[in-house]
Amino acid sequence: MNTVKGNEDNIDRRGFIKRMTKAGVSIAGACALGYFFHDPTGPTGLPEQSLVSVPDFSMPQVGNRMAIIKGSSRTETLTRAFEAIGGIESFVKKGDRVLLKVNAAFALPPMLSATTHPELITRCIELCYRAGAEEVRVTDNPINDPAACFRLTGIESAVKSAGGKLLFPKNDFFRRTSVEGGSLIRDWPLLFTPFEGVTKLIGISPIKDHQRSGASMAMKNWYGLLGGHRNIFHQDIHDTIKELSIMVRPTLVILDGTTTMMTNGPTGGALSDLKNTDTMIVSTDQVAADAFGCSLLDRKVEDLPFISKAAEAGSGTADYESLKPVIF
Amino acid sequence: MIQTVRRSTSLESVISVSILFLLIIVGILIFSQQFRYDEKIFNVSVMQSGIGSKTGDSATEGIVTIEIAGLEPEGFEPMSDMETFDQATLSDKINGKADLYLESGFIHLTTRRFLSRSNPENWFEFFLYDMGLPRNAFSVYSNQKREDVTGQDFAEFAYSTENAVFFSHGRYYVEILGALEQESLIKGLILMSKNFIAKYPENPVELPELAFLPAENLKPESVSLILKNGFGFKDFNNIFTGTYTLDGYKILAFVSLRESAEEAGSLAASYDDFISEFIGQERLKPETDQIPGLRVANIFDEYEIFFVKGDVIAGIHSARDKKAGEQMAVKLYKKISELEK
Repeated sequence: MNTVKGNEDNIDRRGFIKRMTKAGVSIAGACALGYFFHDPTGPTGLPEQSLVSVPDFSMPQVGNRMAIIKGSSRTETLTRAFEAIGGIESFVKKGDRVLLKVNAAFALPPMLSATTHPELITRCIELCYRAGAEEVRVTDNPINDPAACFRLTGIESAVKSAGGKLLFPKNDFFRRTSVEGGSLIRDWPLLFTPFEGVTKLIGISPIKDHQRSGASMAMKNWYGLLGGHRNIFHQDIHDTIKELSIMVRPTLVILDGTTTMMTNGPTGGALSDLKNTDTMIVSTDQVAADAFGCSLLDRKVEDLPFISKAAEAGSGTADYESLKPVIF
Repeated sequence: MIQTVRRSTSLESVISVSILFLLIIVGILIFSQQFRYDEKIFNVSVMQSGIGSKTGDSATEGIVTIEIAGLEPEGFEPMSDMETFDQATLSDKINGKADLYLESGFIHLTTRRFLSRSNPENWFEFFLYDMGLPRNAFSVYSNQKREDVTGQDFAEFAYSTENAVFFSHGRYYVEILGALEQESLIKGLILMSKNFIAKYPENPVELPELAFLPAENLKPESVSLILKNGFGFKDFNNIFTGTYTLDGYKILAFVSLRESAEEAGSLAASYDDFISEFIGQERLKPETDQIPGLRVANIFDEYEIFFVKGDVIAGIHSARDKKAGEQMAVKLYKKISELEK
């Protein structure tokens, strides 16, 4: 007998298949819906990225060179400094694409020397083009209102007037990086796109007092390449600067000590924070540049632990005199 | 063939409909919530964007807005929108200087730029730091005070430089930074400062410790307040310092008013221990006998000289000359004794 009243478990084969089909469709539908809503990148919203590194732009074949030039005109002292180290042609060749990493950290006027002076940028771009550079890019990541920072510091107009290309930081310019052997800069956003296709890197920075690190000079300038809430690095600023010196191997650094911010750095704000120190430093060795630069701040190398840390890490020498700098 | 299937009961139907209804509600909630995504929860800005706050406006929530526009001098107009920064975003604006404020009770910063209608090169930016307490505001004011400045009397603590005006007003510390070195600009900035003080009055700052510092040979602009970790000692808070010139030496005097004489005594003993334990220098016999319980220590050829008088701990920090340091300590002791009466 095929029929059993009142017992729903006893169904015929057709009924069973019908129910199984419905159940199967329901399960498949739920799974499809789940798959549709599934976010493979997780809550961080990050696409999978491989870590990137800043290419090594140093030129060991040229050797270590350093010039310390006295004078109040940035245009003149920079020109003479390049001449003293064998001419910019020793470093920038025909067809090179040069990136200038400036300090545009604050929307302050150039007279306050909190940022790279526009005259210096203009002159540097001109010299690079004269040496045969195909393109000169300028960048920095000022965090707060980059457009105002580049405009009010005079950097934007300086770059335009000299025919350079200003690259404002954008979200998609950042890629993750980790410093090899580092313990602080790990898996961190780096302003990377401006480096793409670049063959030479020059850092240009002012010399400033810094409330946390004691000084902001050539090595600290690379801090502006970091993205995210980078202020956490201030908790261990000396080791962070050491790691920055490992992360970035520039072709040259230009350290502007024409006017030095002696107090209340890194922002300053008053002309009375400044002192005319009339010195331009150009060096292939960023550690050596800082080691000399601190003397313009009336500080010793021992007062700034990041210098010896960077030297120990192999980023350069704190004994700048060993480079036999050209001084005049 | 007859197939009979038991019909569900009304209770089962109600339960099923309720569950379905609940699922629909949950689905609607999830659907609507995804449009209110809060990136702070997932810290995307740290990991992905690279750029921090475009403007610091995240601080505006729950904070009383101070309107700066309208206070500007004649001939100027707002050049930018008002921006505010909280503890998390302050460093976006002032980078490495943020710690100075954060360690001094900073609550939030409001900024705005103003531009001259007649000269596009002539602009200034108004920085209004809400430090929570007048002492905090005075501390950041005093610790950044420049030398060779022009004192101003529009506020209790104020000065100007060739391009800027700085003052402490109640809980606020204000910087107005000009883009030009121009006397007329400074006059305008002072006028704006007065407008601000008139619109947002504050009670006078109570700093009774300042009276303990003798006026003779004091460099007035050197007076500052260290809120914590004075001279590297973690228990040294609320320390007022002032620089004196005596016998050709620059001498840094300090004074701190404590809750009680016991606390002052205990703090002096702790500082003594700190010098012994962490610096390891031995005590020296004072040359003067005018200060009971005077302690003197030689630390790398500099002299730490300190004493307790009532509920005040005071002394000389890092004197280069022991005799001059002790002389200054005596002057300090006498002044505190006078005020004690």
